[in-house]
Amino acid sequence: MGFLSQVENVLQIDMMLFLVAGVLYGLIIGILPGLGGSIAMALLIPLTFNLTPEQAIVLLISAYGASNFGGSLTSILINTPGDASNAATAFDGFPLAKKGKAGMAIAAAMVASALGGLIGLIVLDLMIPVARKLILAFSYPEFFMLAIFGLTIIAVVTTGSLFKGLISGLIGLMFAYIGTDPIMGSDRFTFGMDYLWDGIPLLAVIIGMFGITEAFSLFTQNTAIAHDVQVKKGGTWLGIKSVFQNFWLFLRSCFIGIYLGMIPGVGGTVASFMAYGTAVQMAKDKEKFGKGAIEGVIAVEAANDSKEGGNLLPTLAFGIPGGASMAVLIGGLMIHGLTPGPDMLTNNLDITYFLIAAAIVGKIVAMLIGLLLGPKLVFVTKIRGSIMAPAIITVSLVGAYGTDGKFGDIMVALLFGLIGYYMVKYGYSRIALIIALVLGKLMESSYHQTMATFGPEGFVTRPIALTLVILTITSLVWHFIKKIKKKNQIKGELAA
Amino acid sequence: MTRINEKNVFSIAIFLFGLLIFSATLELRNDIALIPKIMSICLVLFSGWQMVYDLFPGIKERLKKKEKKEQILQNDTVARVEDEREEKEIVKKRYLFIGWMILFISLVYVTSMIWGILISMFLYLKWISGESWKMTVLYSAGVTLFIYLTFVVGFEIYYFL
Repeated sequence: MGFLSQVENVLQIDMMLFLVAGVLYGLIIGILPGLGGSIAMALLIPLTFNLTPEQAIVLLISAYGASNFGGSLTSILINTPGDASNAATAFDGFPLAKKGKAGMAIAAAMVASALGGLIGLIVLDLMIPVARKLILAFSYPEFFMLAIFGLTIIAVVTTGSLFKGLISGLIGLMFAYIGTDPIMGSDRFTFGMDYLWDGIPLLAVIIGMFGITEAFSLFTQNTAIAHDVQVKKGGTWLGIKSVFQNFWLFLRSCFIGIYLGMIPGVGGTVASFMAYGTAVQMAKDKEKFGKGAIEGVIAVEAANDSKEGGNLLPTLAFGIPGGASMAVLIGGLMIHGLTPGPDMLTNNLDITYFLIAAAIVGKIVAMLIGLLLGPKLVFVTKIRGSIMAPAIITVSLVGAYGTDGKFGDIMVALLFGLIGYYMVKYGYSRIALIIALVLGKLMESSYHQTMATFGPEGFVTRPIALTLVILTITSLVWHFIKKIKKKNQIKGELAA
Repeated sequence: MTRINEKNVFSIAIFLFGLLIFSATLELRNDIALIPKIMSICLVLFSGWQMVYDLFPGIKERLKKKEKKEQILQNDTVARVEDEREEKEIVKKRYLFIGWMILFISLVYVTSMIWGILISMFLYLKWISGESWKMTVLYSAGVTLFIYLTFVVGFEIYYFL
């Protein structure tokens, strides 16, 4: 395992200070509803400007890892998920808290998250030698098909109207094409604005779409985020023990998380819901789920954190983000001269192993801090929304402006904050827009490169490209068959 | 019957954006414009349909089966009543917040990030949120000091001043 060679470097005093700071920050961000790993990293990036690449990696990856822990705390204690991927934790976590077993649920969530994360990262480490061989087999047609495959995930991640999900994706693609064209390098869709020559700044868009949009919601709600819930003492040991008592469930959920994490665009939300669904389906006593089954908490948290390892594989190996968080991580790495893609597994392999080692140590530190401080950090959720909103706006605008010092970035963040707010309000998908914005350029440039290098037959004559075509079609057809089946089932139930 | 509300304006804006990009592709070389042109046509068609759907809710009713009509009408009435209630209660507040954010970035443009934060936080807390003087001064000064110490002193980002 290559990461073992880098553990020593992570355990240096300066690195550990950054790691603990990142974990504490990630926990706080995770507790704040709506603010997940992508926001945690997006707001941290400006702070990494003067750091070395290694210090920046430690800070970003530990904050990202810890944000999942924080999200599960609010799911359990106040039935308010910190992030969409923690939503399924609330199904059984909150009933457990109502039964006075919050300590047990928190401990189980922390241990399942930490161990799930470790397993995911170890699998990632083991897959790196295979990934290197895969990279050699990957060329422009495969990247094109991979981008298409990532875009089709929009159909899966869109929870409301699929039609509006498609519109959201198309808007994202339109924004992705603003800037320079991939053939001649001349400007297009810039409408005479020099600022747009580099394209729409991804970081400002993400800060706007997530941070500013959430601040909007908090302001309009104008109530304390959390309800009053007492955290009863004890149960920590029971929680830790329950993970090992349900080890096969835990392991199964980890592999669901890793597998789904590898597919670009799927993300933790789908992984955690899939793991929860599998836990219910395979349980002997299905009735107890939703009423306070510790298995429900373990399955969701294991999948939610183990997906990080899977998520990092396409991100590091191909430069294709597995989700919004990974898109932000790519931005953070690029600022420090590290371009995710084949380079990370060849010339920068040490950095890749360092990143994995930092993530693993971060998970362990986050678990320890989470178990010690977790219940005490909940006070943040009791701050009134109207007080939280200006602070989030300030931090968001500082984050957008701090990257390049361009006033236009503030405007973009604000504009996308408004777009994001109305998208949520009228049932459009923010995730679809972000996925399309990230993958749009890759899709277009790899299309032109394929046509120039291999011709149109390149898309269907290469085995991996062909496999990806089949996979894309299968996933779409399967998704729609499932939807139709579900619709018919509901119709049948209603008729009965 | 139709009426102009925020939802319709948002749908129209998406449609116009698609149309703008499509018209811009007409000036580009064919190979450069190929993918953006296809995608913008899709966006114009989809968002156009959504816009018509939002502007003329009657179409929705006509497209559904007869047996569902009553339920849809009932749901639409409930949604309309909710929308109106939302309009009355929240829309003013929302525009106030948007106005404050525009003021914030205008202050950043005219003065600097640090001064922009201090002044806009102060104005927000005292006059929008209606906090006490003590809370207003301490919170706005605290946030500004944190940003100043972290970015200007800590990371020497002087364009914040």
